[in-house]
Amino acid sequence: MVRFDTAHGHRLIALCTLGCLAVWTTASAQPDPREIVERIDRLMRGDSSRGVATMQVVTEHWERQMTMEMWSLGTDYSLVRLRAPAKDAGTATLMAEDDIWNYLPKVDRSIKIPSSMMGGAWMGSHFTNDDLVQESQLIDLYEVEVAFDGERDGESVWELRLTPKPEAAVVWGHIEFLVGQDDDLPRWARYYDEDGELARTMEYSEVSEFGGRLVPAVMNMQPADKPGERTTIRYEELEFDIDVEQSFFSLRTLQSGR
Amino acid sequence: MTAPPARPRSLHTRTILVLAMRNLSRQARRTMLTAAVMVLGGALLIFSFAIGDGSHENWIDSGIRTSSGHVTVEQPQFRVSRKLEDRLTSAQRGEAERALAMPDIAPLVVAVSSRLRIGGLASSAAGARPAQILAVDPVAEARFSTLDDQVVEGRYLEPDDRLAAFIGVGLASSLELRIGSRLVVQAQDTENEIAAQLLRVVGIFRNGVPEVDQTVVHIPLQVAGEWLGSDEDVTNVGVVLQGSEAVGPVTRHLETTLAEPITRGEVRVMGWREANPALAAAIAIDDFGNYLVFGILFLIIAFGIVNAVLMSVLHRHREFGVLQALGLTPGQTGAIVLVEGLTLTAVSGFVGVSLGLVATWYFLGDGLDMSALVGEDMTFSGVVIDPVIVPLFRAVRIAQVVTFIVAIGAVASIYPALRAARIDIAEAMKFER
Repeated sequence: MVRFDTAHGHRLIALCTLGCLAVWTTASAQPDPREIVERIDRLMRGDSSRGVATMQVVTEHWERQMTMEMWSLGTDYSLVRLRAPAKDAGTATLMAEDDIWNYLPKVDRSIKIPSSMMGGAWMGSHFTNDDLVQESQLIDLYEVEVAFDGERDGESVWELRLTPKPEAAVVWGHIEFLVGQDDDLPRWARYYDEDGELARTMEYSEVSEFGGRLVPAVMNMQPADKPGERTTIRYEELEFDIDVEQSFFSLRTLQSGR
Repeated sequence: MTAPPARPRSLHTRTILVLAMRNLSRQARRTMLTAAVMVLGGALLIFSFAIGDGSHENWIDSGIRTSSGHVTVEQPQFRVSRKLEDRLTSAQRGEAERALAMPDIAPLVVAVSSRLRIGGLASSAAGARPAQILAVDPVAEARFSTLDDQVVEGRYLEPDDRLAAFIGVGLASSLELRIGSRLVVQAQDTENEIAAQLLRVVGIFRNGVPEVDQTVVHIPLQVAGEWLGSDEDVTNVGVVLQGSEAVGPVTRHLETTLAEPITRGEVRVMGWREANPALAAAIAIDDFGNYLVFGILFLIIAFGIVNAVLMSVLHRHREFGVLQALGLTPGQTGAIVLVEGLTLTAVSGFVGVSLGLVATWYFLGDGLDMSALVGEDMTFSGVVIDPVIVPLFRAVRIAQVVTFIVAIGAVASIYPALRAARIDIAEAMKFER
C-alpha cells in the first residue's frame, strides 16, 4: 500500500493550511470571493515546512494508522517518511522536481516511480492524486461565487461555490467551501460530481496554533458512497519557514532513513 | 546355340512398371484400403494447415490492430522507454507516410495510422485509474483499429471532435462515466511536467480483452498536441497490410526509403513479430503443437503403409521367387515393390491434397464458425479471437504436404522392397499356393 504513494507531502501540509490566514485585516462587508480563494491558494504554496502527522485510514475491510514526518520546500521538493507502524518505518518518498522516488528499507532499495503509477489512492487513503498533485491554482480553474453570507449555527460564514471554468481539467462538477468569517479557516469542503451528487466531504476541525499560524489540526475525508469509510489526518507538529536546503531533498537523504 | 540378344534396358523398366501396376490392380481391396488412409491423411493435413494458418492470421490481425500494426515505424528507444521524448518528429512521420503511399507499395497497405501513445492517469469524480492514452487521427484510426466497430454506446471519434474521449467499458464502469461525462487525463508533457486535460466521453467500446477495456483511451491527436506540447509529432506510424505475408517486402521498402534516419539511429522499422513478441511466440507454440500432432498422425499413416506393402510382399513370396527364377535380378524385384509403393503414395497423395483443397475452398467464403465450441469472446495472449475462422490458402503448405507424403511413401516402401529383393528363390519356390 505504501509502495506507490505519491510524494507531494507539502500538499498535505497545504491542505491543512487551506484557508488559514495569518493576516486578515480589512474586514469588508462585501468580500470578494476570488480574494478569499486566492488567499487560500497562496497559503497552499508555503515556502518550507516540516511536520509530523498521523493518518488513520478506515475502510470496509481494514483499518490502519501510520505516523509520518514530512519536509517540504516550495512546490518542487518534498520528503515523507513513515515512522510507524514499525513494519513500515523508514519507508520514504522523495519528490524532487519531476522525479518521484520510493525507498523501501526492508530491501534497501530506491525505486523510481513512473508518472503513470502515481494514480489511485495515496497510501491507501481516500485522498486521490488530484488532491496532492494539483499544480494549478484554484482561482485559475474555478469560477468562484459567494453562495451564502451570514449566520449559520451561530457563526458567521461564507459558503463559496466553485464551478470549473469551461475547459478546466478538473473532475468535479462543483465544489462547495464553508469558510468561517472570524478566523478565515475552512470548515468543510464538499465535492460534487456533474450530476450534482455529493462525491466526498472534507472536514476541517480542531483549529490549533502551529508555528505562529492558526491551522485546523484535523482533516477528515469521507467518500459519500461509502459511509463507513474515512481518512483522518491529524497534525501533531507543524512548523513553517524552516531552515532546509534544496540539497536535503536528495536520494542520499531518502536512503539514510533518518 | 546362340546367346539370346541382350534385352534393352527400357524393356526392364517397362516390365517393372507393368508388373507393379498389375500387382496394384490385382489386389484392388488392399490397394484401396492403403490409398484411403493416405487420401484421408493428406486431405486432413491440407485442411488443418489451412485452418491453423487462417486462425493465426486472425490472431495476428486482431493483435496488431489493437497494438502497433503489421509494421511500425518508431523511435528505437520508444519501445523500452515508453516516453514521450522518444517520439518521431513531424518530418520523420511525414517521410514514413510518404514512403507508404508510393505506388509500388501502396496496394499492399490497408491502413496507416500515426498515433501518439502515452501512459497516464484517467480520473473522474469517482476515482482514478492508470490509462493507455492513444492520440489518433480519427479517420485513419477508424480504418486501422477494430475498436471503432466495437462501440456499445455513443460513437467513435470524428474529425471535428475537440476534447473527446473514446473509452472502454471497463474504464467507464470503474470511473462511473457515461456519454458526456467529464474525464480528466494526466500525463507527462514534452517539458516533463505533469499536465492535465479535460475530455468528454463521446463513445464507449467493448473489446473483450480486459486490459484493453480497462485502460485504453482514444483521443484526437490535435488535442494531445496542444495538451502535451507535442504538436503533430507521434510515437509510431502503424501500418495494417493485406496480410502478414506482405510484412517482409513492406519492411524492406521502408528500411530503404528511411535509410538515412535509420543509420542516424532516429527511426526504426519493425515487423509485428518484433513488435509483438508474445503474439509471435504464441503462434510459434501453436504451430509447434500442430506439427507434433501431424507428425504423430503421419507416423501412424506411415506404419499403415509399411504394413500393407510388407504384407503384400510376404504374401507374394512365391511370385517373387518365380520372377527371380525367370531372370529378374533382386534389384529389379525390389524396384517393383518400390514402384508399387511410390505409385500408391503419389496417386493417393494427389487425391488427398485435392480433397483437402476442396474442403478449404468450401470454407473460404464464410469461414468455419467455431463459436459453438469456444464461445463469443475468446481471448488468447491479449488478443480477442474471432470464433469464425477463415482458412488461409498457402502454396508453401501444399508443397510441404506433398513432399511429406512422398517422403513417407518412399521411406515406407524401402523396407518391403529390401525384403522382396533378398528372398531365397529355392525357399520361395517350395511354397505351394
